[in-house]
Amino acid sequence: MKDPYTILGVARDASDEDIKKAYRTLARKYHPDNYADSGLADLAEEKMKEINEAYDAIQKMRAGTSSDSYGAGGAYNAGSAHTSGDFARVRQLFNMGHFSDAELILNATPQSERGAEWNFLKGCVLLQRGYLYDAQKYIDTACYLDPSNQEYAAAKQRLRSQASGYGSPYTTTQYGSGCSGSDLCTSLICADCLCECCGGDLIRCC
Amino acid sequence: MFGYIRPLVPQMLVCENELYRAIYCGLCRAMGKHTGCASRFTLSYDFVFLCAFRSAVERVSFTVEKHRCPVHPFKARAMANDNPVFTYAAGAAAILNAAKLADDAADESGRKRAAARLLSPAAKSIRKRAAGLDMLAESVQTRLTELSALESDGCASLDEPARVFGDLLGNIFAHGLTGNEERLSRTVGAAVGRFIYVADAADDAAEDAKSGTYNPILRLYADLDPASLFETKTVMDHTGRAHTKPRLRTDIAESIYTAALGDLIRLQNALELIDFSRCQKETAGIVKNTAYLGLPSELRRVLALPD
Repeated sequence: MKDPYTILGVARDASDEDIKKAYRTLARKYHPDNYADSGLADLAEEKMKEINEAYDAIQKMRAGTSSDSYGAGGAYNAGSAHTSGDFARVRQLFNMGHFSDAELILNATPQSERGAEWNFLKGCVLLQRGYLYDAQKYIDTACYLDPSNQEYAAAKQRLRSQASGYGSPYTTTQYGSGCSGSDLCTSLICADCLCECCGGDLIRCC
Repeated sequence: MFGYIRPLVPQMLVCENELYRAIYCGLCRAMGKHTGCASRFTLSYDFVFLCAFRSAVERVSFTVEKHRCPVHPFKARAMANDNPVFTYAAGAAAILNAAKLADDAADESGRKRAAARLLSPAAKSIRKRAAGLDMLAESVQTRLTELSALESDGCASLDEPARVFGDLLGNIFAHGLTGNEERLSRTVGAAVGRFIYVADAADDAAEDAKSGTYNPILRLYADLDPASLFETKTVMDHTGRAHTKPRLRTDIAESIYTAALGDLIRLQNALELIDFSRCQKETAGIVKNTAYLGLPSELRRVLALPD
């Protein structure tokens, strides 16, 4: 197998940033979609696979885990251009904090393959950027397309529970529940117990 | 402006509501004084909130007197006396309205454009009287240009244009303040601006779908069948009258509402950092009631969601 650095066209001592830049430029250049109408998509795919493997290999080497075989898991594997492997790559990038790279891959996914997982990941990337309205839409779509998926349902639930905290400093201090009589009793008894623990006493009779 | 920023009156203290009405009338009077009689027709609840907020942050207290006015000639009403906060709000309103009108005259089509063209000389004369706010006028203009560029591109995001409008309102809320007060006011204004943009988009969605006008919500949900987005629902207006209109269907409405509350958390976080202990008690009450109860309730009304 060829040297991954040669494939990406970077020096061995290139910075992570430069490698990422080279990878992105190449990935954009050889994206199978660019070749769909010229009948060269299979060749582009092969090239793409090579680039992905090279990038993965460099990443692995730099992370300190030496690997003999350049494992799969690249963004654009051979076969059907966008399998769940793409999304594994998106997740990997997401977990490493490379959100714009993850979004790049997601935006390059053709319309026809934008299923539940695509919507979910797109929602996560948007959320990361603080785009709540857009994120909500994509995560809702993911839940709609795959209602049984626990991960998507949990994300939706998180958005909802975050939203439910709105107005709490006002409603709890001024109106709403406030401090009812029974709350007061409970608090006093608690305070008494605490005082007794420390050797004091707040309410003499108990 | 739009009038989506109002308090939830049934949950206000009586003294808060009295002061709120006095601020409303006081702002109208101040607009007549500073930017001309014609500008009084552009009075909106959004700028009344701006007055309450700015006076709470700047610790300006309102004094109230009874006066008659052309709209209520027979019975004198309690009105807050003119102060620097009113002067600023009247100027900011003039700038925003004039810029918006010029924008509509250039972008919109049909009846809206004709109306905008008809009104623009009046807006210009109002605008001329808003002295000393040239920096603000420039930044408002920049944001509106940015917004119309996004709209003519057919931007398929609700967050992006909402942020631009948020920046615009953040500038208006923060102008003339310094230090932490400036930063907090900018954050509050930005959250309020995003809210106004989203509420307005949701309010107009059905009409825009019919007329083919740009609407970010329609673009965001472009993957669904446009006809399936709407259901006929009963909407209450502010006087409590019911209207039957096409509105966004319930699951989409709920989704927008949840996202809006999530976004409003940023407003809550900023308000929690503002020291309201040394301002007039009622103004702080108005600000908190409007932010925490008024905004969610108004959005539910616009989206035709049950309370």
